[in-house]
Amino acid sequence: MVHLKKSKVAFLSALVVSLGITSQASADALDTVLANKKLVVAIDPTFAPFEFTDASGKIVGYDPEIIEKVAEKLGVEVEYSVMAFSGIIPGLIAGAFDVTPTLNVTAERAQKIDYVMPTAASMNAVMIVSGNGVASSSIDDLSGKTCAVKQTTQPEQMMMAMNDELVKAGKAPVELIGFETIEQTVAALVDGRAACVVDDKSVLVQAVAARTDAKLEVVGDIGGTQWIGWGVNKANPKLTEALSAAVKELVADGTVSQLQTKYFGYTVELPTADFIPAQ
Amino acid sequence: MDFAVLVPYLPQLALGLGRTTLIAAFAIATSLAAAALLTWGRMRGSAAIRRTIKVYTQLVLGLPILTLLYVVYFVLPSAGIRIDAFWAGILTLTLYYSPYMAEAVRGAILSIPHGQLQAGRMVGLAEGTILWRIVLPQAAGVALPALAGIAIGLTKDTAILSVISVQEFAYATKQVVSRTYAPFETWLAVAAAYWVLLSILDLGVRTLERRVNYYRPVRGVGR
Repeated sequence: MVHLKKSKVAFLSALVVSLGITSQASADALDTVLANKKLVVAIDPTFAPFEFTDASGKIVGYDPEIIEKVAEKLGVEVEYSVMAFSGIIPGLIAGAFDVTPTLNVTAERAQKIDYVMPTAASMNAVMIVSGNGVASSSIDDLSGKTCAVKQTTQPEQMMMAMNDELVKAGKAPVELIGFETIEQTVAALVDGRAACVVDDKSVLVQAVAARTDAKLEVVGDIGGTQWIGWGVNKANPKLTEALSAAVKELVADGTVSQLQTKYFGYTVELPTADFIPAQ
Repeated sequence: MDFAVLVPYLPQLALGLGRTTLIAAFAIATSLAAAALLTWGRMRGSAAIRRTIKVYTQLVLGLPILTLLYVVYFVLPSAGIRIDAFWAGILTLTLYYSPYMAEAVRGAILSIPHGQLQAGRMVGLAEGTILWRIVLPQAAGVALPALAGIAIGLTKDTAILSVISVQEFAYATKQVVSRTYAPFETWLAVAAAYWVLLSILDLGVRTLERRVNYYRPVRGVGR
């Protein structure tokens, strides 16, 4: 027992020391990326059309295509690190990888991570099974219903904020059940565990097209428009700047709007500065 | 490191820990009950029952628990069986852990020397009395360490219920991390809480073990 305790103490102190080293790392990740010729990208490829896997298991989609073009400009290779969305922002803060695509730009997150200039705009919407009793995407029609969301995502947090308002107004909140992937939220809806799914509209439109066996329907928008951007650890401003510059070039030469047409069917003008919302 | 960021979220974490404790306690109880049934069927059931239990045990021992959880929660509804997330979790843990527990119990029962049963019959004890007064009290002491290990494994596996939206400790933790942006502090605190919970379980079982084995010295306990 005594030996065990000693080794536990040794392990814990090693852990503390190594954590200290990670947070003290002073070199900008851009130097490491260029030196190793490798950009490590954390991704949850279950979010078509933004990021998903094709039939062969290759990671594809709107943001991966832009990232690969950006990496080409920097003269580096892309290495994907696949994980559940709920692990991505914690991993980014811990310095486990260089960049992650497809994050809603929120004021809360912007205090903890940096954003590369936005690559897309996002509008959340409400998806239902036709005729399941949800009249519209208005929050009053959702009050008291159960809605499936992806854990720790902006749509989930937006619904929580709307719940606070509902409760203040003396109405029943929306019961939120959280899953790891969009397919799981859709399964919960189709199986009748949830009355609606709240997520990014273009993702929901794809889900409706993919699940023709169920009578899915996007019943309307909810909340305002948000920018979608890539997240970088605050310790790496040079990396953020280099990635933003490369994205800007791809916007300028028309590549980005081509990809928007290819994946979303519409184009949107992207801001290069002042895109962090006030609150 | 700034653990103060966790303070506003302590009620949320405590609620999650409470749910985890409840789920673990419930699932340990149902698994033990199911294990008792499996053991009885395996030792006293007809050939058909024995074969069914054997196949079931083999099947479960060869499945990752996450697969079983997904089947119970996401696949059964297509067969018209829809179980709430909480109960789907309890059912999965029970289906998964009862065969392990049954194996531990069966091994313990088989470890009781046959001579004792014969001696019991010789002095005219009923079969039920032999089971309750001779076999089980001794087998309990033999089975407990293995059962404790399995119960601890079960408790740790409650964390995977977070993927089917059971709002237990790991689910609450992911929520808190997404709000505090403090993964180190949150997960370290949560790891410590899990460790305390499991140590209490371990301590409880050791105490129980000492009591059950009162009639013989137990090596490695309480020294």
